[in-house]
Amino acid sequence: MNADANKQTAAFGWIGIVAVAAFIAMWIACYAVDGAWEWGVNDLSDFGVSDTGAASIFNYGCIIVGIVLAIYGIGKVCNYDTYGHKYSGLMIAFSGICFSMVGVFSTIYGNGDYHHFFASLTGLFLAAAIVASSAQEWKDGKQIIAGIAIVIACIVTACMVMYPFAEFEVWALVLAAAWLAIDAGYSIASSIKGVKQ
Amino acid sequence: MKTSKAMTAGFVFGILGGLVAMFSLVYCYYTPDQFELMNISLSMLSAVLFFAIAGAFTKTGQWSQNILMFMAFVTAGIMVAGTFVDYYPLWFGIIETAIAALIIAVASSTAVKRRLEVPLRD
Repeated sequence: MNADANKQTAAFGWIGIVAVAAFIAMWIACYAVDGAWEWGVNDLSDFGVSDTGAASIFNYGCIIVGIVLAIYGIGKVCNYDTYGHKYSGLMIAFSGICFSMVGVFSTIYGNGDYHHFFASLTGLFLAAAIVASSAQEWKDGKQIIAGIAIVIACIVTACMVMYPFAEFEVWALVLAAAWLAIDAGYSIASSIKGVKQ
Repeated sequence: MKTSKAMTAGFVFGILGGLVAMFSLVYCYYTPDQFELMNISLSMLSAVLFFAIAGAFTKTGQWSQNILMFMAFVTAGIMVAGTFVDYYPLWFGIIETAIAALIIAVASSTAVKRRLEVPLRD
């Protein structure tokens, strides 16, 4: 990988970090405005139909985070040569588009069917991205990085079995955001070191 | 690290993890809990996983280094997840996760990699 390609990979890695930071900032801002939202009791989507200003923050926030996430995914497709990373980037891009749609269609629009459709697709595409990226890392001999995804998958499965949906959803989102941050951070670190992708 | 030392370390950590899991199994049996059966089953599962990992560090180990690493991560994942959702007592989760992390560190070493790729050479 030449110096320009390294810079490009690092730049897209930073976009991934920005997407995660924007998501966390959106969440905190929503919670600050709508104090009635309770961890493990309310769905994250409840912010979208809040009577307070949290509704606008959540809906516009989802659109912005989704677009940034899609850009990160496209950057991953363009900058990596390996099939697993390209596929992972494509899935992240789809996931970002679906996340934007979550902001466009709130739960009151069409009985919430559109909202739940796009929310489910966001999760599925992100899960596919994690599997693809981790499989490629494993194949490339980077077992520790890939192993983190195995641990995350175990935690998400346990949360799905043990917790009600509202609590499972928020933990799954937190863990997905953590994985995205690790993935983006690794892109930056590997491009600084000049590791061949 | 020397090959034999790395293999022995992995074996010892595996046995240790299994023994702690057996202790937890007994502890769960004598501690009434809403999820008693689940706790006992999961302790048994972790004992099986740790003993299986210990077996992989022997001369006639059943797994390649790739599979060993995968199983070590699955074990660590189950320990973290079980503690996270309160299936395991906290002390047990912390000890077992630490042991699983040590096993991952040993299994990813070049010495073990070399040894498991050519099992019958030394």
